[in-house]
Formats: sequence, C-alpha cells, structure tokens
Amino acid sequence: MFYDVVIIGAGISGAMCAYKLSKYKLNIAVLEAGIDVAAGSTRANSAIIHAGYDAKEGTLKAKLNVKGCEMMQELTDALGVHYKNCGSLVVGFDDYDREQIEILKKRGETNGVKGLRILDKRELHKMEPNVSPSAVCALFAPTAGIVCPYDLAFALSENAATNGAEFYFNFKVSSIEKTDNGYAVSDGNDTVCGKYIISATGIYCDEIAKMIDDPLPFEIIPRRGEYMLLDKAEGKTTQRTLFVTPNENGKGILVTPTADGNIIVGPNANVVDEKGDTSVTIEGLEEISEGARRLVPNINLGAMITSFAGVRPTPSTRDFYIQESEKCKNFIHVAGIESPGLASSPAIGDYVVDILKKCGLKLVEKPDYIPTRSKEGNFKLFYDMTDKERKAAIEKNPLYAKVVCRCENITEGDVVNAIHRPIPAYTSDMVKRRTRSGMGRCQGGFCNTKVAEIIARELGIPVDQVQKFGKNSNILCGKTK
Amino acid sequence: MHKSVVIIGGGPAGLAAAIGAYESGVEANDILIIEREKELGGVLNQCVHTGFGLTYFGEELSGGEYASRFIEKIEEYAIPYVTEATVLSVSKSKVIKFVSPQLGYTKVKADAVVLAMGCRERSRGTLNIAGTRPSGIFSAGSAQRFVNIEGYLPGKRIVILGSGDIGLIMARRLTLEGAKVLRVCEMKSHVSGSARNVEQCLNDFDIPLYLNSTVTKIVGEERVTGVVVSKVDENFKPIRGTGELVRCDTLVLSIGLIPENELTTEAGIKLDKKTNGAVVDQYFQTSLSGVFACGNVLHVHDIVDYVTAESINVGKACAGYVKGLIKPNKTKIPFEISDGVKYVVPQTFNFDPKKIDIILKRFVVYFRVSRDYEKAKITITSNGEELLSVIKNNIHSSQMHSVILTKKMAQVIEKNKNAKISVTEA
Amino acid sequence: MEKQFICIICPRSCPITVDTETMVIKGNKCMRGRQYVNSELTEPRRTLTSTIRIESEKVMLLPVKTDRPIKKEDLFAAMKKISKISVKAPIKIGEIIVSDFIEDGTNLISTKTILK
Repeated sequence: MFYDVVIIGAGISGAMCAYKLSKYKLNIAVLEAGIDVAAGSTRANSAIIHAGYDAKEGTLKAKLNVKGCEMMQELTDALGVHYKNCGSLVVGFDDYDREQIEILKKRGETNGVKGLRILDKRELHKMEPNVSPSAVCALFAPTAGIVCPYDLAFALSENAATNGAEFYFNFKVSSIEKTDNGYAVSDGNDTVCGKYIISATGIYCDEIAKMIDDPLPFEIIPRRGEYMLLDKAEGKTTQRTLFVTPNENGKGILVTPTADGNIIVGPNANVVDEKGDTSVTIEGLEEISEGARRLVPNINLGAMITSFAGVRPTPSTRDFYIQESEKCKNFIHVAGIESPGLASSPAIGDYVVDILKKCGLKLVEKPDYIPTRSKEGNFKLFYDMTDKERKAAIEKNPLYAKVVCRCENITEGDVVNAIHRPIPAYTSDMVKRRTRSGMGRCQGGFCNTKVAEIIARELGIPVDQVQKFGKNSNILCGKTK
Repeated sequence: MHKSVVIIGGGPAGLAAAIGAYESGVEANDILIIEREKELGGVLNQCVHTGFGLTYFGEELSGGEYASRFIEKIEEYAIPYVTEATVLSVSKSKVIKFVSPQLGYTKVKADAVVLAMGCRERSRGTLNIAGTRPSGIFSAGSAQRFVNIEGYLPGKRIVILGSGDIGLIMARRLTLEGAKVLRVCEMKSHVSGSARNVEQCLNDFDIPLYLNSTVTKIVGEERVTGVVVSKVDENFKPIRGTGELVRCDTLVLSIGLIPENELTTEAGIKLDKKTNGAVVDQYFQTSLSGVFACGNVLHVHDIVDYVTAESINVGKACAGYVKGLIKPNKTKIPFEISDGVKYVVPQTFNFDPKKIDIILKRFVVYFRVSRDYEKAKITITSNGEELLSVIKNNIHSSQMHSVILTKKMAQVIEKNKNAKISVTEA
Repeated sequence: MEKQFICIICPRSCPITVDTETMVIKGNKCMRGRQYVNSELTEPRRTLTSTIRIESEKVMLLPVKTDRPIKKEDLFAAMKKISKISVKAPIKIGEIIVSDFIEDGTNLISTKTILK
C-alpha cells in the first residue's frame, strides 16, 4: 500500500499528527520502533501542561506552548482522558528569585498566557500550606495542568487507528530512500512507502535526519530525568504543580500531583551516554530527594512506591524545529521536542498539518469520521465510573464484577478491554499503562499473576510465554511440573 | 441488604471472627464474609509448607490444612460467604459497597464490621534500588503464588533480598522445584525469620546468608541478568565501594509486610503509625463505633495461631456489640508505652465499669519489643501502681508477645483512666 | 566433641548442644527436641511438602506432603518422583496419593480437599 502520509514515531508528537490527519481522507501509516505507543520520552516525563511563561519570547516553543495549553481541556474531554487544570506555582526564596519570577510573568504575558499573578508569602502559603516556610513569593499560573502523557498518546493513537491509520510496531527505521512518488522507509525487513513523511522521532530525530542526508542544523543532547512516584495517600501534599525558579538546565526539580492522584517528584537533567539509558541511579534519587525537600520540607518520601526515568531530546538551540526539510521535499522534521512538548502537542499537530497543506497535501474531511477512541465510544475504567455506570457495565459484561488489581480497583473487564482495543495490549506492561493495574502501592504484587493469566487466556498462549514488555522479557521460566 | 456482622476478608482472621460471632449467638444468616479470591483461606491457600497450628491444634499442619479446619466450621454452621468479591468502600455509616460475579454491584448495611483484609508486601519501589526495570523481579508472595497455585517457576538463578520467614520458605521451595538460590541477603545484622527456618530452609540446602547486605542495583534490559549486592552500615546505608555483581535471572523480594488499610483510612478510621494498623480498644474496636479489626490488617503477625485466637475474640466482641453491650469508642484511655516497647495492641481502653467482663473474661495485650532481651521484665502500671509484672526469657524483637489483663486490672485502669506498659532488663 | 543444633520441630527453635562422647543433650525444652537431635546425628529426616498436578475444574495443583519425615538425602529424588504424578478430582484432605512413597510405611498424602 502506498500511503499519503507516513509518520515515524508514535510518541506524543507522532500520535498527535496521526490524530489530526485521520480526520481527513488520507492513507496514514505510523511506524514505531518500540513495541507500543509512547515507548520513549512520552512514557516518562513530568506530565505537566505548562502555561507558557518559560519559553523565550518569539520562539516556536512559546507560540505552540500557549496555544497547546489552551486546547488541552477540549481535546481531553473529546477523547475521555483525565486532565486536571490544577494551576502551577513557581516558588521564590529570595530577591533574586523574585526578580526571575517577575521576568517570567512579563515573558508569559508577552507570550499570551492568561491570568498570571504574583503571590506574596501569605497568599502562597494559604494556597499551598506545605510549601517551605522560607518561600517568599510565587508566580501563579492558573492555566497550567496535568495529564497522563501516555494515556493521551494512547487516546490519540486509538482514535487514529479507529479512523483507519495503520500502526506498525517493532519497526525500527534503518533507511529512508527517495523514490519517484515519495519515500521508501525500511527497517531492514519491511518497507513502507509514502508521499509525505513526518519524522517525530524524539531522541532519535537527528539519526533519522542523517538517513535522508539532511542533518539537523543543531545537536540533540540526550538528557535523562529521574523521578520518584509517591503513594496516593500523599496526594494532598500539593494541589498545584510546584516549581523552583528555572536555571540554565531547565525547570529544575519539581513536586506535582498527577492526573490519577499520586505525587511525582523530579526530574534531574543529566546528560547520558546511551540514548536508551532509562535506568535510575542512587545519586539521582538523592538529587531529586534534596530538590523535593527544598520545596516541601516535610514531604513524605518514605511513601515512594516506584522510581523511573526518561530521556529527553534537548536541542542545542533550545527551541522546537518543526519544518519541511530544506533538502528533501515533503519530509517534515518535528525535532527537538523537549519540554514543553506535551503541553504544545495539540498546537504542534495543527502546525504540522499546516505545513503539509503548504506542501500541497489535499485535506478533504472524512464524512464517516469517528471522534472517539473507538467505534463504541471512549473507554471508561471501572474505577472512573459512577455507581449507575458500574451496575450497567456489570450487567452487560460480568467480567467487570471481578476485581483484579485491588490497589487501583481495576477489573477483569478493564483488562480484557485493554487487550482488545484499537491498539491492543499483549504484555503485562502494556496492560498496566492502559488500565493502571500494577501501578498501585503493591506494584503488581497481587495482580501480576491474574493479569498474566488473563493475557494468556485471551491470546491463547501458555502463561509462561507472557511477557513484561516484549522481546525476551518473559515473566516466568517454565512450568514446575 | 442488611447484616448484623459483615466480615471483610475470608482468611484466617475473617474465618475465626465469623466463627467467634456465630458461637456467641449471632445467627448464621446475619453474618456475611466477603472474600476477594475464588475460595476462602486467604494467603494460607498458597502455603504448602507445614508449621501452622502447633499452638492452636497441637499439630503441625500445612497452610491449606489449617485453613480447611475453619472452612469446615463455616460450612457446618452454614455461615454465608461470597467469593471473588471485592469491597470498594466502607462508609462511616457502615454501608459496604462491593462487586462480585455472583451478586453484581451490591450494598450491604452492617451493624458491626470486621476488617480482616490482611497485608501486602513491600515492593522494589519502596527501596532505593537503582538500575533498570526488567522482568524477573518478584515479591516472595507473588513467587509463592506462581509456584504453588499456577505451577510456574519464576526463574532459574535466584537472589533473595530479605531474610524474613517468607523469604526463607521460598528459598527452600524454589530449590526443591529445581531453581538455584544463589544467596539470601539481609540488611540487618541478624536474620529476620526464625532460627528454625534458617536451619531447614537455608542450611539444609547450603544456601548462603549474607547479613549487613542489600541489593543496590538491578542489571538487565529485558530480563534481570544480575544484581549488585553491597554491604550496609548500622544505619542500613550502602557502603560505597563494596558493590559486588551477582549474576542471576531473578530477584525475589521479602522486604516487609504492610497492613492493607485503604478501606480503613477511606472510612476515616484512625491508624497507629507504629503498627500501620487501626488504633483499637480492648475489644479491637476501631475509632469508628462498631468497626473492629483483627489479624494482619491490625498488626503483622508471625504465627497464624495467634491470628485465630485474636480474631475469635473479635467475633465475640461483635456479637456483644450487636446486642448493645459495647459502648462506642469515645472515652478512650490511652495505653502508653515505654522505651522498651515498640508497639502495643490495643492502644486504648474503653471499659464500661458496670460491664467489664460481660463479653470477654480477660483481655489479651499484644506487643513487640524494640530490641532483644535475655531476661525481660514486662510491667503494666496504672498511676504508678503495678498491676502486672512478668519475667520472660529470650524476648526477641522479631517475635510478637502477649500478656493477659484480668478483670481486676481492668477495673483499676478504668478507675485511674490511664495505663502504661514497659519492658526492662530483669 | 560438642555439636550444636537448632531444633526445627516448632517455632521455638531451641538451640541444642550435644556432647558426642557422653551423648548428653542440653537446651531442648521438650522431648521432641531430644528426638530431633538424635535423629540428626544418625539419619537426618525432613517432612517434604510440595504440589502435584491435578485435573480439576478450578485448580491446577494439589498440595501434598509426606505423612512422616523422609531421609533428607532422598528429598530431591522424591521431588523428581512427584513431578511425574498426576491425579483427578475429587480428592479428600488426608487421602493417600502414593503409599510406601520413597520408603515403606511413608505415604504421600493430600493436604487439601478438592471436590471437582
């Protein structure tokens, strides 16, 4: 099949492009190196929808961040994704910080951010009593929010798949050749051909650019950020995202609620040698703990239930690079998408569609477009349902009456649904990210056996062939008898 | 639906509470046990090893055998229970919402509630273990479930972190099923589990035990390929430079149990930070009137026989509550602890001076000490007056101990409105 | 020579010492401890607990045990034998699965009732 658009990368940028384009009568392919959507930076980040005062005036970041942030509520409502417009605070501890905060406010206003306000010590502590008593002021941004980044990426991808986009996983692009009608993109085994190519490849965007002999005019520096996730019992530590004043490395170590009621602490920002190095280090955890305590001295880090890390593609220019390749017609780079990539994503999507339009892509709306994640509508997890909805769900499907993950109250109905979604789950990690089973305080201790059994049953494979996240990550080592 | 007594959890604690309530006069049809798994028995169902029932039955039974004694009584008494049922919430007015394939989405109003949800295991995430997140990392209970219920081997070359009884039992079990257990690491300077288990689970199979030792890093992309084991100091901090890479494909974690109190906190019930379980009075009634707690959800036990004894009394207390014989847990007399005592259960007293022994003739006080004693003097006082003084040899910090309060002692405590328990070197 | 043992008969885990010349046993708090140590000196024995395959609607495995301790040196041979056994429900708790298992007079018995 010859595709109109081939999108390389199913992270938040790629998924957003697929979502925006699948409204139109186009043949779309999405090629993802990983086993699942959101396999890279999108899986492990601060999950914050930034308001837009951070990015320098006049940059593409600034423009797309503010716009994207404004679009988030409507987008998440349409796709049934949890979004909390909780607001954020940049906390200042002295006069220098106060100066920085005033600069951020002015910058935000220039960028178009609404509602920015500087709080004094009293107001700050009234709003967030757990913030350090040494804090003297804060910039309050009411438009900021939090969302689950991979949940959003799944929703976008599932909608795209429902509307005909084809997803190829375990497709690690190794070569891109120019053809008469466009490009041939290959992973060494298979080749996918298309007229327009979008490279939304995160930390690998410089390597993809080299494949078309169009190296990016800047460097991509892979920076790892480590995080600690705290138990939901600590959820009231802060209602809003808390930042310190930024420095040259970025926004610094923050303390934020998540869309599901946990608290995340982090990230640090250390350059790594290996792009795929998402391991967590002892020094990293110490660094984040110190940073967290600066903001919230009494934060209960003992309530940590897991730690994780993600690597972001920091462009040496510190701005997004989204444009048609100067050398290769119809090849669009979506590069250097570090923070505020998630917040900007809806605007990035529109921006890319505009570029494609200018390149000549005809956009005719689909009359039979389905606006939700699947033909049946958006998915609601059992724990999100009202009593009435729960009763109805159980009547329709008795598997919703069997709780599998007791920490998060996830039912067998939710797990089976995840295995049969438009982008199906078939490993325990894929089920985890779609349903939250295994993300609670016992971290899968109780449900891992049950989820493995359900996956085995639904896929018709023996339990010891069920994998954690693909390839050779089998959970078990064979039968005892 | 309305029931006099609703018991959340059908493990040893819940089963004993049901039997205690029934034998004290609550009609079978007025009791309901809500159990999450397919069958009653709780974690005992996955314990194929013996060692249960030595005190309660005077026999050495396997987990399943012990559980079956009580399940048989439940069947004999025809006490109703629902399985594959998960409680979603317990309200302050004792309305319990649960889901089950049998009954769908159900609400039951209870006069008395027994919290018997047991505990969960600490996971890797609660320790600062650096490195990757591959497959091959199991909690000991999970590994036990895979081996004894599903029939699968979690791995072939195994390192166990934590020398509690669960870790030691699994060291033996995995070895017998054909895996190689390379070592058991323990952060403390002494073993956590019983000496008996060190003998029959480690020494019998030449499995080395490394004290003052912990896992600091996990290596492996898709599956564990090794762990870094480091020595720790007296504060359990890893000592830099002592890391040793041990090649293995599996890490089993036996690093502690935490009472499962989500439902408890959602109901606004007060917890004791020292036990991670509810604060209770001498009837094991929580701060919410008519809600009781027993078993591992109240405080983590070592021996199931004690869980049974504790829970039968809670059953009796429920029966008394339903009859109106127990006053609400309002006027609490605090039960103070001294330095030698790590925690005490119950943490408060709530005696009705006219009805002190109307339900239970004596009251059991459970406690743990904060260090080992060769010869310990256990004293309970009230306003300085000594009510009880007992000398016990070889009191270990890893074991639960108990003493008995008589009616007379209770009367003094009630009069003085205070009590204190202390442990000193004799 | 003095030999030291930890008795495994009950959770008390009594440390027991034996003078191998005089055969004086010290440290046991009950008779079973004395018996255990005597047994350890001559022929150590252990109760084996494990699982066997069962054909049943609900479960895959049946927990079993030897009704008497068997020789410690036979444990792995016993595990091998066990891996070849399979039964069909219903099985009652205490039912003999294999009589004269590993040695005469010792039976492999079920420790659970599985009705179907």
